[in-house]
Amino acid sequence: MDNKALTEILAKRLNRKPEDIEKLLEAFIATVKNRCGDLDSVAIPGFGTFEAKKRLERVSINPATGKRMLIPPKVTLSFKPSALLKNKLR
Amino acid sequence: MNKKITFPELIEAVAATTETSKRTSEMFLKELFAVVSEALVKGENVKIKNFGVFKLTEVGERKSVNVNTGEEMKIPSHTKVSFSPDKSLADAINMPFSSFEAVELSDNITEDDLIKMTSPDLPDENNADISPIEEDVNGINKPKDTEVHIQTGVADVDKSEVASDSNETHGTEIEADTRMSESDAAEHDNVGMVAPCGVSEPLETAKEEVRQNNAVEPNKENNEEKSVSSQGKSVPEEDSLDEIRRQLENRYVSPYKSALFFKGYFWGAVTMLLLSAVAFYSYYLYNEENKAYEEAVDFALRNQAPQVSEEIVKVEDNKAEIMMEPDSAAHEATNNLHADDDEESEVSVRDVQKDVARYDTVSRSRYLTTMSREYYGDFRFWVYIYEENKSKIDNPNSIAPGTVVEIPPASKYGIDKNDRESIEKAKKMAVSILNEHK
Repeated sequence: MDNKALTEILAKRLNRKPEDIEKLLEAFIATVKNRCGDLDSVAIPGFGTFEAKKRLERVSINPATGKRMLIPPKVTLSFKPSALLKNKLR
Repeated sequence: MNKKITFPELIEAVAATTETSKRTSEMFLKELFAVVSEALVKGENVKIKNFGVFKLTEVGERKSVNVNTGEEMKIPSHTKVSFSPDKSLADAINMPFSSFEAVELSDNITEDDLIKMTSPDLPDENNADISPIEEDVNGINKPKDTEVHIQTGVADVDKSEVASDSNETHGTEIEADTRMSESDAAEHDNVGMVAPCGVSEPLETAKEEVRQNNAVEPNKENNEEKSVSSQGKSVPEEDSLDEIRRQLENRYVSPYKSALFFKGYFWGAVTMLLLSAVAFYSYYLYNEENKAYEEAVDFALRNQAPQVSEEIVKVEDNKAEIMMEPDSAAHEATNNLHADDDEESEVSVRDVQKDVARYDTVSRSRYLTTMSREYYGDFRFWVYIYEENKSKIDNPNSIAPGTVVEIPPASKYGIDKNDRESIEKAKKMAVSILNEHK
């Protein structure tokens, strides 16, 4: 399911224009971006948690060239599905 | 920071940014995740623009062990959802670290170097010193190397001074070098002995003159000695750098260690001395006390008439008891002696004269129990003294100091400190008396 199909389904269900849905979706994404940028986590009941995780710097070796690279530390967004969603998928 | 944003908070934020009611945003968010999870259950991947992709991955059957029971079990194959954020979102979240880039490492950088780079408290001089050592180890035969080394080491020194110094060291170095080339491996140690003096001494003096970097100096000296001594072992291996560094570290630490060791020794000796002094002093005091007591007893005995032998026995009994428990009894006895030395002898004199009826005075440090112990040999017989003086004493637990009490003769109440029954009787009496005066 791609973005277009998703917005269409949502528009139909909520009786709203697809543009409104786009706006709401963007607002949601912006919120997650802001909060996770502050290393907070966003929990959605019945679905899962989006949280920012810090990864330490490390040395990795490129298997193709054998060169060693120093990978800098970074913050990544991770998603942890809730138990409910996991069970549904089983 | 590390806060958990709950669903209501999320609804509020979305409503605020889109300027819609909370109700709409709530409905929207609920529907959004309902649709996404429905699609996932159907087995579809869901892609949200600018957000990311929810992917389904098959996880095969695998074996596992129950942590609690240690039982082996099979985890059946299932599908798992994973989320990979869109590039724009990932970059936005990684903003604080976006300035870093992956760096290629050259082959000769080790993990130690990385640690050193990250810990700034290590002095730079250390690094600067280590590399010349490597040169020394590999090519001490070339005096040019050492000259360069010295010049870099004392960059702050006046140029003229450096020149003279380096010339000096240069000379000794060459001397050593020539000798080394002539002699065989057996003489290596000798060379090692000569070289450090030649190199380090001028260096040190020059440095003392110019900068007073105390922390670096011993380090430097150590380094130089080490480099030469390791050479003296005639093991000029190529990868001896690490070994040298390790040795250096050992070297650097060991003076501290030995200092601590000796410090411990010193303090141990001091405490031993103190302890023995205290022990000796207390022994001396104890002897003195005993002597004082004996004198008092002697004095009392001298004044006694021969017909009251019973009294002598009593006093001696007392003494024997005190000897038996020198810790408490002797202390008490001496206390009394010190407090009323004269009274003690007076009492015994009075005792002698009146034979049976004796009197004693209650004071702050002299209770019925003290008297009982003194006259009957056991503190538990205080009850009889109380019994005899009931008219004067209201409460045995609080007797006014200065009260004169009569000490009944032991025979009147059948007091015998060696008789268990007598003591038991006294105990029972004590209980009843104390109950009365609760």
